[in-house]
Amino acid sequence: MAGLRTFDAFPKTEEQHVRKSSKGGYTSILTYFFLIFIAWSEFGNFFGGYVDEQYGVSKDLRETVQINMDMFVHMPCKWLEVVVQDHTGDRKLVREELKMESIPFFLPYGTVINERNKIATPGLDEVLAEAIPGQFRDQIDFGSGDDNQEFNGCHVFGTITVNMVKGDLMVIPRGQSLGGPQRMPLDAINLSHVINEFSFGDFYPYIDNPLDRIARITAESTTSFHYHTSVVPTIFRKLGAEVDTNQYSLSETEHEGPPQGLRVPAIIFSYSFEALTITISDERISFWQFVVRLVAILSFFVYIMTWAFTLLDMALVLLLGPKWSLRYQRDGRQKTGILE
Amino acid sequence: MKKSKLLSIDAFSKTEEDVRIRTRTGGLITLSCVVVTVLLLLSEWFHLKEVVTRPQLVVDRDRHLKLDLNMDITFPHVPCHLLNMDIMDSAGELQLDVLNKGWSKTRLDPSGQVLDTKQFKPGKDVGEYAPEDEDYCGPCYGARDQTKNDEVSKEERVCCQTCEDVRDAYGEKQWAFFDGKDVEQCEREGYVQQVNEHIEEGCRIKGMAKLNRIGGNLHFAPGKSFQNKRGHFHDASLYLASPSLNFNHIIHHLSFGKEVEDITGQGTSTAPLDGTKVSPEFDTHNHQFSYFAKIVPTRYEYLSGEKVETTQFTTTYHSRPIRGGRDSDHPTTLHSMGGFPSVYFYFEMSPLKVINKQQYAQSWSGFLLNCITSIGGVLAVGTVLDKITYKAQRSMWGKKST
Repeated sequence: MAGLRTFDAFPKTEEQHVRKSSKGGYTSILTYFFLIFIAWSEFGNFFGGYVDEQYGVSKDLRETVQINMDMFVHMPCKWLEVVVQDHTGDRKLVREELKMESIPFFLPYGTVINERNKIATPGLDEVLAEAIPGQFRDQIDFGSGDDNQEFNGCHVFGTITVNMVKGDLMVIPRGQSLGGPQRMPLDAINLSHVINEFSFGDFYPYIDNPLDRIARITAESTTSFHYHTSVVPTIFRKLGAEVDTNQYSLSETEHEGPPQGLRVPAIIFSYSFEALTITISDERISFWQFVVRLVAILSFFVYIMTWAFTLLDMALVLLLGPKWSLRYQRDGRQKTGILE
Repeated sequence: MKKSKLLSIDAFSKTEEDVRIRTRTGGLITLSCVVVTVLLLLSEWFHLKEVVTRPQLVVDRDRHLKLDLNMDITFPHVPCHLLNMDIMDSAGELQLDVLNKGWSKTRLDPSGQVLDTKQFKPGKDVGEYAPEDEDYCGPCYGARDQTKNDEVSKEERVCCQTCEDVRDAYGEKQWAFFDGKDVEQCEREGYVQQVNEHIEEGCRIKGMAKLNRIGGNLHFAPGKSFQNKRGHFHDASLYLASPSLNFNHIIHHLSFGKEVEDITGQGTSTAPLDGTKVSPEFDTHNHQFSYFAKIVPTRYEYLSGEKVETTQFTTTYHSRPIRGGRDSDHPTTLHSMGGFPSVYFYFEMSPLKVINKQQYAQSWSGFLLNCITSIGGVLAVGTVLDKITYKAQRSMWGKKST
């Protein structure tokens, strides 16, 4: 067992052969503070992880997707028709899926009027914090006939299932689109509207989308509004949690007169779906990798500080003389020999 | 420079051997450090050899290249002689009757068992039934104007000599041909009998074609296809007259490029429809099935330097009755009316290209740096551990214990 001593690569020196100084002590304290700071910072980085973005092509055979919408239109419900038409040739009578209730038209607090939303792409943590699934409430009968002048608006809300292909969701004055018997007088049309929510996929009411909380107000009865959206499926992953959402880019146009193919003004939401899926995930190195990395950084720092102290001491001794030495200065507490 | 000057700047000052203390614990810690260092260095070596795939997005510039379509699909309830495939793109290019251009057709019996893979064509060889009368001019049954045949020379006469000629004439007029019953040429050739004998069969088709890198569609439909200024048509009369036929199908393979080995770890999407079986519970005799494919050009770059250009695609499925209107599946939907029973594959190219590049997880310089870091880290921890144990032993057992 005594042979083990020969392997000792960390030989010690007796206390009496070691010289200590107060300046060395100060440097040590400074070093310890730095070590604690570095360790704390590294722990923060480890637990915070890093965001990794991947893009791929979905292997799933898709069929349908949900559109979640909640909007106020400055027209009575009885005059409104909501229709979806897409590249499969299908025409969907959305009125049967959506809820429509008469309301006094108003602008909710915080709505952006006739301007673009200043929306930033939400971060991973923000999305995960706000990804609380929701569903629309039931329709409420306010007990007022449409004759009541105060109820000059319509609250259109709910979830629609559409084919996952390019298409248009259109809000049109009723009778005009389908050539119905009842037609609203053209001069009574007003497509001023407030969009409270417009999103694709699972309904997460707290996640912000480019069309959320915007209002478009017009005095003209012939103004049409056209929103072009391009939907990108996006998956957010962190610590085992996964949120499957759909982000979309938006461009919008507003013009006088009916859109092409229609006889009257309309609010049109055109949508198309991108082929690429973005996966945004929170990654972190393994715990052992972290430990090795932390130890390496801390030891490297100690080593650097030792060197810095030694080199500074040597420089002071060389330039200013031995009495400026950081290492070999006498402290008051140090024992003095007989000859001193 | 004097020796004393050099000594004064020696930053690696040594301690005299006779004042250094070595301990058994120090020896154990040293050996442990050696073992840990070796393990860490091995781990770094394996990490150096680890291969990762890094995806990147670029704009696809290969517009001049053609797209390879590879397909293997079974129609259990459509006979091979009735099945037709056409390819059309948004530039107006047409490839009609593609299945007769090098594709293999495998006849299947009603239970799905293979009958044969020979090209079955109804009717006998033309030479076997040639009319005895050399002056014979076959009737076209009103599909072509034959009223002036008596006034013109033999060469200029309008005649339908074979069953195929009559079918073509009917096609030009967009008349329903059905099974050729009561058409003398078809009866004589045995066409009618054979068509009806094989009507309950299925068909598995396999082959490849070249597509332009633009949007378009390819479709399987019953009967001969015709194209004129009014549009694209198929003579689906025989299909419509046989209620047992439908376009239920099994996609064994469909891709728009080479097959590749997955290097991303997430699975490739080069052939996401493989194994798809469409066989609804309800009667689909008058149904149209559609697949909307968004194709993303993809390049796989392997460590060997090999580069494989292929594509990935994502698909949306849709079906509708050709009569249009509502159905039990989609109560709030009005399907469009028209078309013919068929399977459509609409395709659209993405302007972006994904490059999946294989590379080593770290470089040699990174490996060396990590090795040095590992050694330094282990030595630092060893030093700290040794100091702690030495001081602990000194304080607990006094000087002699070590």
